[in-house]
Amino acid sequence: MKTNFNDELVKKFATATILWGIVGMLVGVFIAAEMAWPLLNADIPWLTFSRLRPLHTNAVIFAFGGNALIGTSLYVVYRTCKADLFMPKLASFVFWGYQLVIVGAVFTLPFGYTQSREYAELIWPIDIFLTVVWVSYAVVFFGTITKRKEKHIFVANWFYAAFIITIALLHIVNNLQIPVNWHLSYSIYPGAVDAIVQWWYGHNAVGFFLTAGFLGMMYYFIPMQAGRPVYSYRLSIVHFWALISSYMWAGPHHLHYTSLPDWTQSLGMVFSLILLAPSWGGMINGIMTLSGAWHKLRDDPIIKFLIVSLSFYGMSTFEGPMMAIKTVNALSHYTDWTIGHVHSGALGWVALITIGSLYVLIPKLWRKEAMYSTKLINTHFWIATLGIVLYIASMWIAGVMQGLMWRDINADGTVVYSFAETVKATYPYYIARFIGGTLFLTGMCIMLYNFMMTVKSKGDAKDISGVVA
Amino acid sequence: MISGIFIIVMMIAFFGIIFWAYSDKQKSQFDYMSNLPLDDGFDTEKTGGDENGND
Repeated sequence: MKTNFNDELVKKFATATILWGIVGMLVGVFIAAEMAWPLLNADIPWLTFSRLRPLHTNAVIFAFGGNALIGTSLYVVYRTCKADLFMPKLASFVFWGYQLVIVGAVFTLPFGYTQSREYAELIWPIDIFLTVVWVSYAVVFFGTITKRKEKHIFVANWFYAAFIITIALLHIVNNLQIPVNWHLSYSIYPGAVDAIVQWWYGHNAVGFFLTAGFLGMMYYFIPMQAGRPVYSYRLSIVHFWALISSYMWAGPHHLHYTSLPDWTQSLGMVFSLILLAPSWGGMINGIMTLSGAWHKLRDDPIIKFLIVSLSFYGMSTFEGPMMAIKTVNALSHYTDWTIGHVHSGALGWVALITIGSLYVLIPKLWRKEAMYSTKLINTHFWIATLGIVLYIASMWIAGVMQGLMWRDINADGTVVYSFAETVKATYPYYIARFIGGTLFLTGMCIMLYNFMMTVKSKGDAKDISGVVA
Repeated sequence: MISGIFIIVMMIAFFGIIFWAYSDKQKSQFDYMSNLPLDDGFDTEKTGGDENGND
């Protein structure tokens, strides 16, 4: 069997994506269970929700999502540039270095070593190492682009490039800290400035890590699997510039009704509303790629993953701007509605497009005709979708209920419900959320089995359903 | 004043991008680029079968 270095490296990233995905989602399901049954932490500090929640978010965003993004970006960049990866040894270092960062997270966060900055919890020594890894990744990616044999740079690479540059910028600016010992450090920014730097980082992590990079995936793997060209290449260029220039300013919507200046809050709200246009333009461009081949949505479960992910993307990029409106935010902020919104994006968009792309990629990387079982892909699809719907619907109801209960005021100005009463009312929804998350995790385990069987299968993979995807 | 100028510059840039993207000059290049994901053959040993989803 002929192998090449590029594919071998991407194989590692694909494997890491599935494994870390299962770990991260398992931690998520466990802390969801803790919300429903708090005794599960057994009074052990490193099993508490507060310690494991950052582990969950770091694992699913940076370990699952990150490995998927780096792996697919390297695949896409070398294929569309028709050039081998620049500096292969450095590329291998990117893989092992990135895994080391993740292991570093596993051995610090549960033990309480944290910067306490949401999605930037990692302590300063790990931050510095991650910077080295990330810059190496940028060198490999852009080095490959300079070696390209195509005149133009394919649009997916633009999205991946924006993701790489912006994450470097965000990571460095938000982690400017003064260390006092090996794990403790203090931010260089004061008060409200610190808050807006953090949410400039936080929202652009959504915009560039969880959106731009995955849009790169969309522009490559949907046309590939559908066997159709990108619907409108012109729209994809306008999509790119519009998206990256408006995302930067949306961060303040995380700080509505705080000590952040009022005009900054309004600016964040307006830019969040503007974001609806590029988001939906991109979604339409992705979905319309199937134009003329709609039957594939019925026949091919991989296409189901890819297209339904775009539907969730459309839903959450409509919901997001709505929640950024200050009056809506007055109801939704600090409630479980936010958690529902995040998971509509994270499970519905990020995870589904990743899973779909991996199902396209795995047989290609391991030189098989198709995945071991198309039926199991279909099963995975339905279990995952059911899990997402259960998760986000229960969190929507819980969130709106909490918001309404918190703002319910008696005639004499006292609150109608104590906080504990709102927690008690949320209880059934926490159980429904736990079930939804468990279903999604089950789907990932099915994927792992299907993946292992595909890799193990001989030369031309046998496909028990006889469908070539 | 400076923010007004900045807005105008950004608007010109944005409409410039739209004008450039939708000009006929780019059409043949873009048609070629939009088909790139379908050409997945670089440096790989084809294993037979239709890679792009068969009908």
